[in-house]
Amino acid sequence: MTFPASRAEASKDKLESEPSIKVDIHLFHCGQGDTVILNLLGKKWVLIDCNLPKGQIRNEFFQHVSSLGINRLDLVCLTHPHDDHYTGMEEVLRYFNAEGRSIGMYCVGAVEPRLIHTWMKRRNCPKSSALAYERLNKYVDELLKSKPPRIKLFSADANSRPVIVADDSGEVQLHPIAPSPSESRTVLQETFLLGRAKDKLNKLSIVLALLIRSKKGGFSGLLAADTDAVGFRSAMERLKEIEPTRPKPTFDFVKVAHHGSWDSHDGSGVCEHRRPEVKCVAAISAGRMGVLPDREVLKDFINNNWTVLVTTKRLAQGTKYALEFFGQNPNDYTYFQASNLKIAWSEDRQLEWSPEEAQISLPEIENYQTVRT
Amino acid sequence: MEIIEQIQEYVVRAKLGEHPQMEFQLGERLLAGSMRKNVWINPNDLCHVDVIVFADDNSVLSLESKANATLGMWEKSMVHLLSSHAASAGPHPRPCIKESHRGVVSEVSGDQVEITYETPAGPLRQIYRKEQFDGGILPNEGDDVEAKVTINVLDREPNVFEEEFESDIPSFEGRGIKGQARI
Repeated sequence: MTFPASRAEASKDKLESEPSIKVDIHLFHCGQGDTVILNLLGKKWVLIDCNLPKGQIRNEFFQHVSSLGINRLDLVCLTHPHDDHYTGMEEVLRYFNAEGRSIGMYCVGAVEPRLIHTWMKRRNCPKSSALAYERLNKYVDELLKSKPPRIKLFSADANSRPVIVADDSGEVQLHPIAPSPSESRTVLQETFLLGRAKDKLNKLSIVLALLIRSKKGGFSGLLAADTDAVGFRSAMERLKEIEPTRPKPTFDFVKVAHHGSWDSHDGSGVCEHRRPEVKCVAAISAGRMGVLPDREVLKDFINNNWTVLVTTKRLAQGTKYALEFFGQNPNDYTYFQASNLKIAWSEDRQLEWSPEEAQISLPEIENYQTVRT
Repeated sequence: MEIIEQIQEYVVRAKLGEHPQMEFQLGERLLAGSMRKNVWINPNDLCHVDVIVFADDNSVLSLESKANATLGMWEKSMVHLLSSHAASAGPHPRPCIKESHRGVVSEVSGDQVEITYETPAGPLRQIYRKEQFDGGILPNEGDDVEAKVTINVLDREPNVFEEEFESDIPSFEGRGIKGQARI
């Protein structure tokens, strides 16, 4: 009678002895914007965007980084030049270039930062945003020019080769799948050359597919930045080219595009890209001005059997007031509940997430607004 | 002449003293005010000066009455300004938001004052510094306050420097890694 138990023990020992591929995704609650940290294979750290206004949020971020034991950011990616994605990024780069800490690679879109900065100033963007962007890029230039260079530059679009992390346990690919070069050219022409005032920078968002293939299964994640529905569909087409054996891309995890705005969601078809056989997670960061995510986007994900996690949950129905613009810290708003999300995947344990209270239920979406007409 | 110098000149002319307690600019209209008088000036027509005297004798009007009179003048001017803009711009007035929020001074600590505004969505706390208050006079804990928020869309003044601005961020072209990116 002891034989099956012994066999189970042996099997367990074997599993424990074999290295297991794992990925952790952290969505740091940063008020209204994106701050995403990835831990790949348990040893490589990636920062995708950050919105870290000076003060409490920035201090909490550095405490969070310290608690995770991060001394090196192997990759820092700025998906697109909106200030809810780069506020405090210069300070992050400076922090990791001091006291024995370091940075590996800095990933940006293919459009020249000096063009974007010129456009920002001519278009009368908020002075603080344009100044922060200028300072960030000048600091990156300084790091690139230092001898030896203290950072490597990676210009990414849908045609770029993936960033690869590999060891004995396996391989993780972080694959840029948007923007397409043609879309970037259109934005470049309309925005920067013709000087159109309308902000189309979301169309330049670098969308990243996080792909793991292993004998025990696999993991597909999507980090959609602020791409719009056109960009999303273009990204899916690119993914089909990358993985021709999968006629329709499906994901275990999606970092929802543009903080769950209806305009980005409508027509994207993102909910249909759920991996059917497993529990899948859609994580949403709060958007600028506190009106995002949109109620109808939340409803669509929940009705399509996604587990929806939000960094900033509305606990009551709220109406927008101009006075709210004065605040920057969601903790000041007692009708919000802020959470640092952690989504963990490994071959052995599949998908896990925390905290439970970040999951949003159908009745709770009534606290959100919608622009859907 | 700088606007502030204009205001000072007008204030002197109106015999308000060198340091008016309030200064506003509304479109082409300048307001300088003290607790006794408000002076409205049209910089394009220096002869056109409106002086509103609250009272000949300070003791006649209470502080609250003066404040209300001042706010009344402010709102009247806003209505006039907006209606004049609406008339010149056609049937669509420019976007404008006006909000009013009641609150209470929840804490005074040194030079900082915390005011908690009650909004339907819940309390909203704001911190103010001493220098933000007129004359540096701080309110007391428990005082009722009201915040009036007015947001107007302004004409964008042509700014030659900004229109000709060219960024001096160095080019990143050709500086990226070639080939496979591994971290």
